[in-house]
Amino acid sequence: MRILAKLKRKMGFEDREKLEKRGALLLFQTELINIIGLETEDSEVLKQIDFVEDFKESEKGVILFNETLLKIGIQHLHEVGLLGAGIYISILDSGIFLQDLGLKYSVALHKDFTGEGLQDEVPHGTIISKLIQSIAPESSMLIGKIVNRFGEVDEIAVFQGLEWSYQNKAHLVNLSLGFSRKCQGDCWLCQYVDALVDNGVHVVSAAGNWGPEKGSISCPGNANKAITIGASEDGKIANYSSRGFASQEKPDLLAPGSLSIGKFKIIGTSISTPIITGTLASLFSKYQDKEWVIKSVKQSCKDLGYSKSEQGQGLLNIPMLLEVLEK
Amino acid sequence: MIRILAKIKDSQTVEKIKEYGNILFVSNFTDIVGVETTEEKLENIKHLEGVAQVRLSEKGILLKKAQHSI
Repeated sequence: MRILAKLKRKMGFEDREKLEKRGALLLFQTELINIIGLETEDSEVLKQIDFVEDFKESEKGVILFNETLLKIGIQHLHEVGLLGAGIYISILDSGIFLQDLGLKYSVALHKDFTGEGLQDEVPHGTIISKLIQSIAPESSMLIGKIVNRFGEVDEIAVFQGLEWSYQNKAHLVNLSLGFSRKCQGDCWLCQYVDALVDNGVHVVSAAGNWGPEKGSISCPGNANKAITIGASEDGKIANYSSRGFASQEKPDLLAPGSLSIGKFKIIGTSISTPIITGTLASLFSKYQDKEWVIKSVKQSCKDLGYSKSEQGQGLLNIPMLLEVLEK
Repeated sequence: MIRILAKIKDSQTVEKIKEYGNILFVSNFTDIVGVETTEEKLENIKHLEGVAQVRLSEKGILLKKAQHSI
Protein backbone atom coordinates (compact mmCIF):
# COMPACT_ATOMS: atom_id res chain seq x y z
CA MET A 1 0.00 0.00 0.00
CA ARG A 2 1.01 3.61 -0.57
CA ILE A 3 1.48 5.72 2.54
CA LEU A 4 1.96 9.40 3.33
CA ALA A 5 3.95 9.89 6.53
CA LYS A 6 4.56 13.00 8.64
CA LEU A 7 8.04 13.08 10.15
CA LYS A 8 9.23 14.59 13.45
CA ARG A 9 12.30 15.99 11.74
CA LYS A 10 14.09 16.12 8.40
CA MET A 11 15.07 12.70 7.15
CA GLY A 12 18.74 11.84 6.65
CA PHE A 13 20.49 9.10 4.71
CA GLU A 14 20.53 6.74 7.69
CA ASP A 15 16.82 7.23 8.23
CA ARG A 16 16.24 6.19 4.66
CA GLU A 17 18.18 3.00 5.32
CA LYS A 18 16.00 2.34 8.36
CA LEU A 19 12.92 2.55 6.17
CA GLU A 20 14.37 0.24 3.55
CA LYS A 21 15.36 -2.33 6.17
CA ARG A 22 11.71 -2.50 7.20
CA GLY A 23 10.61 -3.03 3.61
CA ALA A 24 9.35 0.52 3.02
CA LEU A 25 10.21 1.96 -0.39
CA LEU A 26 10.59 5.75 -0.48
CA LEU A 27 8.49 7.25 -3.30
CA PHE A 28 8.48 10.95 -2.45
CA GLN A 29 10.63 13.31 -0.40
CA THR A 30 10.96 17.09 -0.33
CA GLU A 31 13.10 19.66 1.45
CA LEU A 32 10.07 21.93 1.88
CA ILE A 33 8.06 20.00 4.48
CA ASN A 34 8.56 16.91 6.63
CA ILE A 35 6.20 14.69 4.66
CA ILE A 36 7.27 11.62 2.69
CA GLY A 37 5.49 9.17 0.41
CA LEU A 38 6.34 5.50 0.59
CA GLU A 39 5.17 2.06 -0.37
CA THR A 40 5.04 -0.84 2.07
CA GLU A 41 3.20 -4.11 2.47
CA ASP A 42 2.73 -3.62 6.23
CA SER A 43 2.11 -0.08 7.46
CA GLU A 44 2.38 -1.25 11.09
CA VAL A 45 6.19 -1.31 10.77
CA LEU A 46 6.11 2.49 10.57
CA LYS A 47 5.03 2.62 14.22
CA GLN A 48 8.43 1.18 15.11
CA ILE A 49 10.31 3.98 13.36
CA ASP A 50 11.27 6.75 15.81
CA PHE A 51 11.21 9.71 13.40
CA VAL A 52 7.74 8.96 12.00
CA GLU A 53 5.16 11.10 13.79
CA ASP A 54 2.04 9.98 11.97
CA PHE A 55 0.99 8.28 8.73
CA LYS A 56 -2.06 7.54 6.62
CA GLU A 57 -2.89 5.73 3.42
CA SER A 58 -2.50 7.80 0.25
CA GLU A 59 -5.99 8.67 -1.00
CA LYS A 60 -7.35 8.40 -4.51
CA GLY A 61 -8.19 11.67 -6.18
CA VAL A 62 -10.55 12.29 -9.04
CA ILE A 63 -9.58 13.55 -12.44
CA LEU A 64 -10.48 17.16 -12.95
CA PHE A 65 -11.73 17.05 -16.48
CA ASN A 66 -11.12 19.75 -18.95
CA GLU A 67 -14.22 21.73 -19.88
CA THR A 68 -14.12 20.32 -23.43
CA LEU A 69 -14.32 16.77 -22.11
CA LEU A 70 -17.05 17.58 -19.61
CA LYS A 71 -19.20 19.07 -22.37
CA ILE A 72 -19.23 15.83 -24.32
CA GLY A 73 -19.78 13.73 -21.19
CA ILE A 74 -16.50 11.82 -20.97
CA GLN A 75 -17.00 11.60 -17.19
CA HIS A 76 -19.90 9.18 -17.83
CA LEU A 77 -17.40 6.62 -19.17
CA HIS A 78 -15.56 6.72 -15.85
CA GLU A 79 -18.76 6.51 -13.84
CA VAL A 80 -19.39 3.06 -15.31
CA GLY A 81 -15.78 1.95 -14.91
CA LEU A 82 -14.64 2.37 -18.52
CA LEU A 83 -11.04 3.44 -17.95
CA GLY A 84 -9.07 1.70 -20.69
CA ALA A 85 -7.37 -0.97 -18.55
CA GLY A 86 -5.38 -3.45 -20.61
CA ILE A 87 -5.53 -1.40 -23.81
CA TYR A 88 -2.34 -0.33 -25.59
CA ILE A 89 -2.49 2.93 -27.51
CA SER A 90 0.27 3.98 -29.85
CA ILE A 91 0.65 7.75 -30.07
CA LEU A 92 2.70 8.62 -33.12
CA ASP A 93 3.50 12.28 -32.68
CA SER A 94 6.22 14.67 -31.47
CA GLY A 95 7.20 12.66 -28.37
CA ILE A 96 6.44 13.69 -24.78
CA PHE A 97 7.89 15.89 -22.04
CA LEU A 98 10.16 13.42 -20.31
CA GLN A 99 9.85 15.42 -17.09
CA ASP A 100 6.09 14.77 -16.92
CA LEU A 101 5.85 12.03 -14.28
CA GLY A 102 2.08 11.81 -14.73
CA LEU A 103 2.63 10.59 -18.27
CA LYS A 104 5.80 8.64 -17.63
CA TYR A 105 4.02 5.96 -15.61
CA SER A 106 1.52 5.32 -18.40
CA VAL A 107 4.21 4.79 -21.03
CA ALA A 108 4.81 1.10 -21.67
CA LEU A 109 7.26 1.59 -24.53
CA HIS A 110 8.80 4.41 -26.51
CA LYS A 111 10.87 4.83 -29.64
CA ASP A 112 12.33 7.80 -31.45
CA PHE A 113 12.18 7.71 -35.26
CA THR A 114 13.53 11.25 -35.77
CA GLY A 115 17.05 10.89 -34.43
CA GLU A 116 16.39 13.80 -32.01
CA GLY A 117 15.49 11.84 -28.89
CA LEU A 118 12.05 11.39 -27.36
CA GLN A 119 11.69 14.88 -25.82
CA ASP A 120 8.71 16.83 -27.18
CA GLU A 121 10.07 20.13 -28.50
CA VAL A 122 6.92 21.31 -30.31
CA PRO A 123 4.94 20.76 -27.91
CA HIS A 124 2.16 18.61 -29.33
CA GLY A 125 2.58 14.92 -28.53
CA THR A 126 2.52 15.73 -24.80
CA ILE A 127 -0.87 17.43 -25.08
CA ILE A 128 -2.30 14.62 -27.21
CA SER A 129 -0.99 11.98 -24.78
CA LYS A 130 -2.37 13.78 -21.73
CA LEU A 131 -5.74 14.17 -23.40
CA ILE A 132 -5.90 10.43 -24.12
CA GLN A 133 -4.68 9.65 -20.62
CA SER A 134 -7.40 11.77 -19.02
CA ILE A 135 -10.07 9.88 -21.00
CA ALA A 136 -8.56 6.39 -20.62
CA PRO A 137 -6.39 6.71 -17.48
CA GLU A 138 -5.74 3.00 -17.10
CA SER A 139 -4.60 2.43 -20.67
CA SER A 140 -0.93 2.02 -21.55
CA MET A 141 0.83 4.14 -24.12
CA LEU A 142 3.37 3.36 -26.77
CA ILE A 143 5.04 6.66 -27.60
CA GLY A 144 6.54 6.81 -31.09
CA LYS A 145 8.24 10.09 -31.92
CA ILE A 146 7.89 10.64 -35.65
CA VAL A 147 7.49 14.45 -35.74
CA ASN A 148 10.64 16.54 -35.50
CA ARG A 149 11.24 19.76 -33.55
CA PHE A 150 10.01 21.80 -36.52
CA GLY A 151 6.63 20.06 -36.48
CA GLU A 152 7.37 18.16 -39.68
CA VAL A 153 6.92 14.46 -40.26
CA ASP A 154 8.62 12.41 -42.92
CA GLU A 155 6.30 9.89 -44.57
CA ILE A 156 8.69 6.99 -44.02
CA ALA A 157 8.65 7.73 -40.28
CA VAL A 158 4.86 7.23 -40.34
CA PHE A 159 5.34 3.82 -41.98
CA GLN A 160 8.02 2.98 -39.40
CA GLY A 161 5.88 4.10 -36.48
CA LEU A 162 2.85 2.18 -37.69
CA GLU A 163 4.85 -1.00 -38.22
CA TRP A 164 6.39 -0.60 -34.74
CA SER A 165 2.88 -0.21 -33.31
CA TYR A 166 1.78 -3.43 -34.98
CA GLN A 167 4.87 -5.35 -33.86
CA ASN A 168 4.27 -4.22 -30.28
CA LYS A 169 0.62 -5.24 -30.35
CA ALA A 170 -1.02 -1.82 -30.07
CA HIS A 171 -4.82 -1.99 -30.12
CA LEU A 172 -5.15 1.60 -31.33
CA VAL A 173 -2.98 4.16 -33.09
CA ASN A 174 -3.55 7.91 -32.81
CA LEU A 175 -2.40 10.04 -35.74
CA SER A 176 -3.02 13.76 -35.21
CA LEU A 177 -1.13 14.60 -38.39
CA GLY A 178 -1.57 14.35 -42.10
CA PHE A 179 -0.32 14.70 -45.65
CA SER A 180 -2.30 17.06 -47.83
CA ARG A 181 -2.65 15.50 -51.28
CA LYS A 182 -5.26 14.34 -53.72
CA CYS A 183 -6.03 10.76 -52.74
CA GLN A 184 -9.09 8.57 -52.88
CA GLY A 185 -7.78 6.19 -50.25
CA ASP A 186 -5.42 4.51 -52.67
CA CYS A 187 -2.06 6.15 -51.94
CA TRP A 188 0.60 3.86 -50.53
CA LEU A 189 0.19 5.14 -46.98
CA CYS A 190 -3.60 4.68 -47.05
CA GLN A 191 -3.21 1.17 -48.50
CA TYR A 192 -0.82 0.33 -45.68
CA VAL A 193 -3.20 1.67 -43.02
CA ASP A 194 -6.01 -0.48 -44.46
CA ALA A 195 -3.72 -3.52 -44.24
CA LEU A 196 -2.89 -2.74 -40.61
CA VAL A 197 -6.57 -2.46 -39.70
CA ASP A 198 -7.16 -5.84 -41.37
CA ASN A 199 -4.51 -7.17 -39.01
CA GLY A 200 -6.15 -5.90 -35.85
CA VAL A 201 -4.66 -2.43 -35.30
CA HIS A 202 -7.31 0.30 -35.35
CA VAL A 203 -6.00 3.58 -36.72
CA VAL A 204 -7.66 6.85 -35.66
CA SER A 205 -6.58 9.64 -37.96
CA ALA A 206 -7.26 13.38 -38.09
CA ALA A 207 -9.28 14.55 -41.10
CA GLY A 208 -7.22 17.70 -41.57
CA ASN A 209 -7.66 21.45 -41.24
CA TRP A 210 -8.16 22.31 -44.90
CA GLY A 211 -11.94 22.82 -44.82
CA PRO A 212 -14.44 23.84 -45.91
CA GLU A 213 -13.20 22.77 -49.36
CA LYS A 214 -14.53 19.45 -50.60
CA GLY A 215 -12.00 16.67 -51.02
CA SER A 216 -9.65 18.27 -48.49
CA ILE A 217 -9.17 15.29 -46.17
CA SER A 218 -5.49 14.49 -45.68
CA CYS A 219 -3.80 11.10 -45.70
CA PRO A 220 -3.98 8.67 -44.00
CA GLY A 221 -7.41 10.03 -43.06
CA ASN A 222 -8.47 9.05 -46.59
CA ALA A 223 -7.77 5.37 -45.90
CA ASN A 224 -11.06 3.50 -46.16
CA LYS A 225 -10.50 1.58 -42.95
CA ALA A 226 -9.07 4.42 -40.84
CA ILE A 227 -11.44 6.06 -38.36
CA THR A 228 -11.25 9.62 -39.61
CA ILE A 229 -12.10 12.45 -37.25
CA GLY A 230 -13.30 15.94 -38.13
CA ALA A 231 -13.73 18.85 -35.73
CA SER A 232 -16.78 20.50 -34.22
CA GLU A 233 -17.02 23.96 -32.72
CA ASP A 234 -19.94 25.13 -30.56
CA GLY A 235 -22.08 22.20 -31.70
CA LYS A 236 -21.49 22.83 -35.42
CA ILE A 237 -18.89 21.53 -37.81
CA ALA A 238 -15.76 23.68 -37.55
CA ASN A 239 -15.19 25.69 -40.69
CA TYR A 240 -11.59 24.53 -40.95
CA SER A 241 -12.42 20.82 -40.56
CA SER A 242 -11.57 18.98 -43.79
CA ARG A 243 -14.44 17.63 -45.87
CA GLY A 244 -14.59 14.51 -48.03
CA PHE A 245 -15.21 14.59 -51.75
CA ALA A 246 -18.85 14.24 -52.85
CA SER A 247 -19.07 10.44 -52.89
CA GLN A 248 -16.85 9.90 -49.84
CA GLU A 249 -18.39 9.09 -46.44
CA LYS A 250 -15.54 10.71 -44.59
CA PRO A 251 -14.83 11.97 -42.03
CA ASP A 252 -16.35 9.12 -40.04
CA LEU A 253 -17.43 11.37 -37.19
CA LEU A 254 -16.73 14.67 -35.42
CA ALA A 255 -15.42 15.55 -31.97
CA PRO A 256 -14.67 18.93 -30.37
CA GLY A 257 -11.64 20.59 -31.96
CA SER A 258 -10.47 23.00 -29.30
CA LEU A 259 -8.88 22.58 -25.92
CA SER A 260 -8.11 25.30 -23.38
CA ILE A 261 -5.63 24.68 -20.62
CA GLY A 262 -5.36 27.79 -18.46
CA LYS A 263 -4.52 30.61 -20.84
CA PHE A 264 -3.34 28.23 -23.52
CA LYS A 265 -5.62 27.19 -26.36
CA ILE A 266 -5.02 24.63 -29.10
CA ILE A 267 -7.38 24.18 -32.04
CA GLY A 268 -7.61 21.64 -34.85
CA THR A 269 -8.55 18.11 -35.81
CA SER A 270 -5.37 17.24 -33.88
CA ILE A 271 -7.51 17.65 -30.75
CA SER A 272 -10.65 15.91 -32.05
CA THR A 273 -8.69 12.75 -32.86
CA PRO A 274 -7.38 11.79 -29.38
CA ILE A 275 -10.86 12.36 -27.92
CA ILE A 276 -12.07 9.48 -30.10
CA THR A 277 -8.92 7.40 -29.53
CA GLY A 278 -9.33 7.72 -25.75
CA THR A 279 -13.03 6.97 -25.94
CA LEU A 280 -12.43 3.81 -27.98
CA ALA A 281 -9.70 2.69 -25.56
CA SER A 282 -12.11 3.10 -22.64
CA LEU A 283 -14.73 1.02 -24.43
CA PHE A 284 -12.31 -1.65 -25.69
CA SER A 285 -11.34 -2.36 -22.07
CA LYS A 286 -14.82 -3.79 -21.46
CA TYR A 287 -16.24 -4.81 -24.82
CA GLN A 288 -14.30 -7.47 -26.72
CA ASP A 289 -15.99 -7.01 -30.10
CA LYS A 290 -14.10 -3.97 -31.33
CA GLU A 291 -15.89 -3.73 -34.68
CA TRP A 292 -19.22 -3.60 -32.85
CA VAL A 293 -17.89 -0.89 -30.52
CA ILE A 294 -16.75 1.25 -33.46
CA LYS A 295 -20.09 0.75 -35.18
CA SER A 296 -21.89 1.74 -31.97
CA VAL A 297 -19.79 4.90 -31.59
CA LYS A 298 -20.79 5.93 -35.11
CA GLN A 299 -24.44 4.94 -34.74
CA SER A 300 -24.90 6.94 -31.58
CA CYS A 301 -23.51 10.19 -33.00
CA LYS A 302 -25.62 13.31 -32.93
CA ASP A 303 -26.69 14.31 -36.42
CA LEU A 304 -25.76 17.97 -36.92
CA GLY A 305 -27.64 18.14 -40.21
CA TYR A 306 -24.69 18.17 -42.61
CA SER A 307 -23.97 15.71 -45.41
CA LYS A 308 -21.98 12.49 -44.83
CA SER A 309 -18.98 13.98 -46.62
CA GLU A 310 -18.98 16.86 -44.13
CA GLN A 311 -19.88 15.38 -40.74
CA GLY A 312 -19.75 11.61 -41.36
CA GLN A 313 -22.18 10.14 -38.80
CA GLY A 314 -22.20 13.35 -36.76
CA LEU A 315 -20.85 14.46 -33.40
CA LEU A 316 -19.64 12.04 -30.70
CA ASN A 317 -22.47 11.56 -28.19
CA ILE A 318 -21.32 9.72 -25.06
CA PRO A 319 -24.67 9.46 -23.20
CA MET A 320 -26.35 8.00 -26.30
CA LEU A 321 -23.35 5.73 -26.91
CA LEU A 322 -23.62 4.23 -23.42
CA GLU A 323 -27.32 3.59 -23.99
CA VAL A 324 -26.60 1.84 -27.29
CA LEU A 325 -23.88 -0.32 -25.73
CA GLU A 326 -26.03 -1.42 -22.80
CA LYS A 327 -29.05 -2.37 -24.91
CA MET B 1 20.79 12.10 -48.73
CA ILE B 2 17.18 11.68 -49.84
CA ARG B 3 14.39 9.46 -48.58
CA ILE B 4 12.32 7.52 -51.09
CA LEU B 5 9.46 5.04 -51.14
CA ALA B 6 9.75 2.20 -53.63
CA LYS B 7 7.02 -0.20 -54.72
CA ILE B 8 8.61 -3.59 -55.32
CA LYS B 9 7.47 -6.69 -57.18
CA ASP B 10 9.00 -9.32 -54.91
CA SER B 11 10.82 -9.58 -51.60
CA GLN B 12 14.18 -10.43 -53.24
CA THR B 13 14.29 -6.90 -54.59
CA VAL B 14 14.94 -5.60 -51.07
CA GLU B 15 18.38 -7.22 -51.19
CA LYS B 16 19.13 -5.56 -54.53
CA ILE B 17 18.05 -2.15 -53.20
CA LYS B 18 20.41 -2.57 -50.23
CA GLU B 19 23.32 -2.17 -52.67
CA TYR B 20 22.22 1.41 -53.32
CA GLY B 21 20.82 2.62 -50.01
CA ASN B 22 19.79 1.98 -46.43
CA ILE B 23 16.50 0.21 -45.94
CA LEU B 24 14.46 2.23 -43.42
CA PHE B 25 11.16 0.44 -43.62
CA VAL B 26 9.94 -2.92 -44.81
CA SER B 27 6.75 -4.75 -43.82
CA ASN B 28 4.92 -8.01 -44.45
CA PHE B 29 1.75 -6.01 -45.11
CA THR B 30 2.86 -3.93 -48.03
CA ASP B 31 5.08 -4.04 -51.08
CA ILE B 32 6.36 -0.56 -50.24
CA VAL B 33 9.93 -0.12 -49.00
CA GLY B 34 11.38 3.02 -47.38
CA VAL B 35 14.94 3.79 -48.43
CA GLU B 36 17.57 6.42 -47.66
CA THR B 37 19.87 6.98 -50.62
CA THR B 38 21.59 9.65 -52.73
CA GLU B 39 20.41 11.45 -55.90
CA GLU B 40 23.01 9.51 -57.90
CA LYS B 41 22.01 6.07 -56.62
CA LEU B 42 18.31 6.84 -57.05
CA GLU B 43 18.65 6.20 -60.78
CA ASN B 44 20.12 2.75 -60.08
CA ILE B 45 17.21 1.89 -57.82
CA LYS B 46 14.67 3.09 -60.39
CA HIS B 47 16.17 0.78 -62.99
CA LEU B 48 16.26 -2.37 -60.85
CA GLU B 49 14.15 -5.10 -62.40
CA GLY B 50 12.03 -5.72 -59.29
CA VAL B 51 11.20 -2.05 -58.69
CA ALA B 52 7.80 -1.02 -60.04
CA GLN B 53 7.60 2.61 -58.92
CA VAL B 54 9.63 5.11 -56.94
CA ARG B 55 8.72 8.46 -55.40
CA LEU B 56 10.16 10.79 -52.79
CA SER B 57 8.94 10.40 -49.21
CA GLU B 58 6.65 13.39 -48.58
CA LYS B 59 6.50 15.76 -45.62
CA GLY B 60 3.39 15.89 -43.48
CA ILE B 61 2.38 18.27 -40.72
CA LEU B 62 0.73 18.25 -37.32
CA LEU B 63 -2.96 19.09 -37.54
CA LYS B 64 -3.14 21.88 -35.00
CA LYS B 65 -4.62 24.87 -36.71
CA ALA B 66 -3.73 27.30 -33.99
CA GLN B 67 -2.00 27.18 -30.64
CA HIS B 68 -1.97 30.39 -28.68
CA SER B 69 -2.47 32.14 -25.38
CA ILE B 70 -5.97 33.46 -24.74
